[in-house]
Amino acid sequence: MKKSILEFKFNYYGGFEKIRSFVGEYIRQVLSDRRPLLEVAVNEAVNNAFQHGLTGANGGFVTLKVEVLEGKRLMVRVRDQGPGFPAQTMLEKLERSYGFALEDVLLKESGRGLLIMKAAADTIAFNRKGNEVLLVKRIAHKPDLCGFANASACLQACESNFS
Amino acid sequence: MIREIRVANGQVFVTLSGNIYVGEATVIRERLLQYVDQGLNRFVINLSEVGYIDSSGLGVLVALQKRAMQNGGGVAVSGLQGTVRELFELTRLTNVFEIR
Repeated sequence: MKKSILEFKFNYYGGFEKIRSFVGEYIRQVLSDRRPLLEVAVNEAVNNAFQHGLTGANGGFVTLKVEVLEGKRLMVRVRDQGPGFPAQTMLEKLERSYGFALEDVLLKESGRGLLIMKAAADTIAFNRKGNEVLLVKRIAHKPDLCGFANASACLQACESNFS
Repeated sequence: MIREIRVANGQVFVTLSGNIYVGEATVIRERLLQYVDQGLNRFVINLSEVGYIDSSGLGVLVALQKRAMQNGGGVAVSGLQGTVRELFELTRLTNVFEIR
């Protein structure tokens, strides 16, 4: 099976900020969409990982893996090294609450990230521990990734900046 | 980022622009809540120049709305387009703000 893979590890949020636009551009080109909701979803997943995972002083890191399978599916995995949380249960609860559109729910300052991820991806799945999320999106048009021919070199350069 | 903040007739007119990620959201939150602390409670936020916003930025707008409402005011949002509009509809924030 033909695969294109980008993989990053971050131990602080600034590391992600340095390659965020690169990842966003990659997703836009793969999906042939100038403003894909999936780009927002990926950032939400990474933000959650930094919020709930163990990073920085605790010695943990966040992993972001972006794969294109056979030019047909875009798969994004975000994993942290934290204890995890009951993401699926939480998502179902949020969907019910937003369905009722109760004012006290809508006026909460947080909790929208999971809803955005669910809406942006064709499939969303969490591992049992709740410290990894998988987002899958079907690709409508075959992506032109010529601009990313040197992606590996770029990533190596990015990674050397993080250490 | 914040492109303009203008106070006229007791209302705070804010134009945001560019990409609003977590870092930008934190700065915007601090700047706008200062106006609530000064006693202003009516805000009009123009998002027509915003290309990207996520739940961190949306959370800031909700925080502002809550504080404004507690003081008898509210927040109106204008210039929703593209993904930004999609996010407002998806998270039902179109029910939370006056949309212009």
